[in-house]
Amino acid sequence: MIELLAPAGDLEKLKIALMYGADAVFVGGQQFSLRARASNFTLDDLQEATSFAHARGKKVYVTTNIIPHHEDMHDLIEYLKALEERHVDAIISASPYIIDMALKHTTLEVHLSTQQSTTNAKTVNYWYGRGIKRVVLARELDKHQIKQIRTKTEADLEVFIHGGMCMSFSGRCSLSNNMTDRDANRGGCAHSCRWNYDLMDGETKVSDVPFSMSSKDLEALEQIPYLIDAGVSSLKIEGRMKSLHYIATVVATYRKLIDDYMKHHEITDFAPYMKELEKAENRLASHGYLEGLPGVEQQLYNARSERPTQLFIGLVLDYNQESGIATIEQRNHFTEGEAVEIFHPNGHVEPFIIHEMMDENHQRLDVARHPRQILKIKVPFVVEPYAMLRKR
Amino acid sequence: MKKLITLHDMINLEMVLEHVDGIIVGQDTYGTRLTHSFSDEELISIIHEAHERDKDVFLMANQMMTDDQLEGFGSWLMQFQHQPITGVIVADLGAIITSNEHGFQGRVIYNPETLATNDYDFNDLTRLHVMGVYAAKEITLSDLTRIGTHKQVKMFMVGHGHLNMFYSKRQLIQNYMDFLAEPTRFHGKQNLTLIEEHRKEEPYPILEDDAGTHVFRRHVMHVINHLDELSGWLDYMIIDTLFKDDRYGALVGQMYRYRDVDLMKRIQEDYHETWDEGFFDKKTIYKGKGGEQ
Repeated sequence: MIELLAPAGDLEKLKIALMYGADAVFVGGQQFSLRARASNFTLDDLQEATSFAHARGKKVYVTTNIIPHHEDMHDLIEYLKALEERHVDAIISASPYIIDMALKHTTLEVHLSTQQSTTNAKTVNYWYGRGIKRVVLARELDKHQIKQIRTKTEADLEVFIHGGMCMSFSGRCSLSNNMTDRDANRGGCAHSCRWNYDLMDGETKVSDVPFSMSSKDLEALEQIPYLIDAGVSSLKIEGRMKSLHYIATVVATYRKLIDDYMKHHEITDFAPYMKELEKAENRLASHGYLEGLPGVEQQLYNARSERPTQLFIGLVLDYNQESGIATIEQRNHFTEGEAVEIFHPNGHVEPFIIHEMMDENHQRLDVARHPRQILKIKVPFVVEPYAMLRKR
Repeated sequence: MKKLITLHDMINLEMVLEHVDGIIVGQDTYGTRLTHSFSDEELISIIHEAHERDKDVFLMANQMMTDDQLEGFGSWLMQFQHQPITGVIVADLGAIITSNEHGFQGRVIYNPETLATNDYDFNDLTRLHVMGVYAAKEITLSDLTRIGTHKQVKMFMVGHGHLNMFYSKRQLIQNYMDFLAEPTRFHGKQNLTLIEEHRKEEPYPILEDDAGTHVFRRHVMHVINHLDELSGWLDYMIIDTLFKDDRYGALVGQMYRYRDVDLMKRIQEDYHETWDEGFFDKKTIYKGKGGEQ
């Protein structure tokens, strides 16, 4: 069975990703991760994460994917053992030092990070021979090249299917290091490739239109059947910084697509899935390299890709079956009388109209205007925690 | 410490080699960021001429390669199997394995650009029986020294030139010209720069070749002030003359050979360059908002 792998920037997103259909999540710990930030998962968080995931037959992978300098190499073995003790299912690494220490001192499964930019079967097999269970392939491969590699290796292959893309070969870019003194391979990427530039031919500006290296996001809905048939082991969604609603919508959409294809062996119309994805974030999307070398239609010039939607208006915390009242945390402005829908973790959507809304002290409200405000709303059907309230 | 240099025109081979120990040449079928793409016949001629002068010769084949490319690369390498080549420089682990399979075991140099940042990862390539490894460009002199004093294979480092900081497989200039609906006229041109909107004083050289698009540091890296220290552990110091010419290469070679500070100033003036020492004394911070990897 092919794995749907989702990002999780914190525990709440992890739970959402797993409840909405991911088979596994990848998270950053507080050390050795390219997201080395305070909000990353503590060891206690990881314990809770693996307990939550394993109770549902799902997995948690931890990124230990920095390219370490000498000063970063302390305390690694202790950290890896701590991950092992918390029953982490695998680590995702790029440095031979981190990989070797994990394989030597722990029983952790090791996946090779895309930071190694693996583009051929010989390289996949080299790492597999060293004890790497899974290789995350470079984004620069097309779907036929991925299939070709599949026929030449026993290693599990993981492929990116959705989200933002590095414009350089991953791990080989130091724009950020040079332009901002922030090390891209140690979690400091400043996204310098997404800035605007002038292209100069000698002393002459080529055009007043800014030159950009930036790309539209990857969206591989139409390639999923091919990748499943090719024998890819894991389909990876990116975006550990994304919102709850984004994670839920993207995961649920790919979950449905994968399940529909596995059931019917054919997808005749991708439009409904695309329409669903647009509810998460109306971004300009492309196939990346999956259909071949990206041309102009896949680049972004003088435009922001991200156009967040205001559809997500509340998160269900609880539901009282006797009273039919749901406890909901406000996430965006909405009013009594609005036509809304519940987006269930199983992907189903049920509409209703808000006829009755109160604050947590049961005072009647006509507008939900405060972020994170706790609301009591009458819902005419059963909802479960982590369901989402959306505008229609 | 040997000094290697790149070449623009084979008629300048003698001049360029005068003050250095060897040459790096390649072909754009498998190499990238080359000063010039030489034909097979030219490469063989250069190999023999350099060999006759008792100089080292390295073939640059530093593209990231797919399975199909590796197959072609192996066949291409066969013609050089019995040539007096000192080594083949590659950027891809698969290319190391392919080179080993085609008679180059012990003569392969791995240049992973950014990845050899510590002595363990640097020496890890002994597993593949390489001749040498390029140390990462973005680490301090202190880190380089530690690698150099713990190395188990030859240590290579770009000591002079515009260091590469971005390598995309996309044809980004072609795409931009397509967006402007103008004909492409910049592929392979070595006089292009990018100027970022908030860094007007920093023109970054950019090159689009058959392998993709590359962006380089504005300042020229140099090591003239550290030659004694580097000589203690560095095996090969590379002078990359991309964006320059062979006269520049000959002058820079002469400058390093005689540690000629007056010549250094003259070169900087003639070529309108600013030089720095890269990350020798600059530690990058890393606890920031990371990108998607």
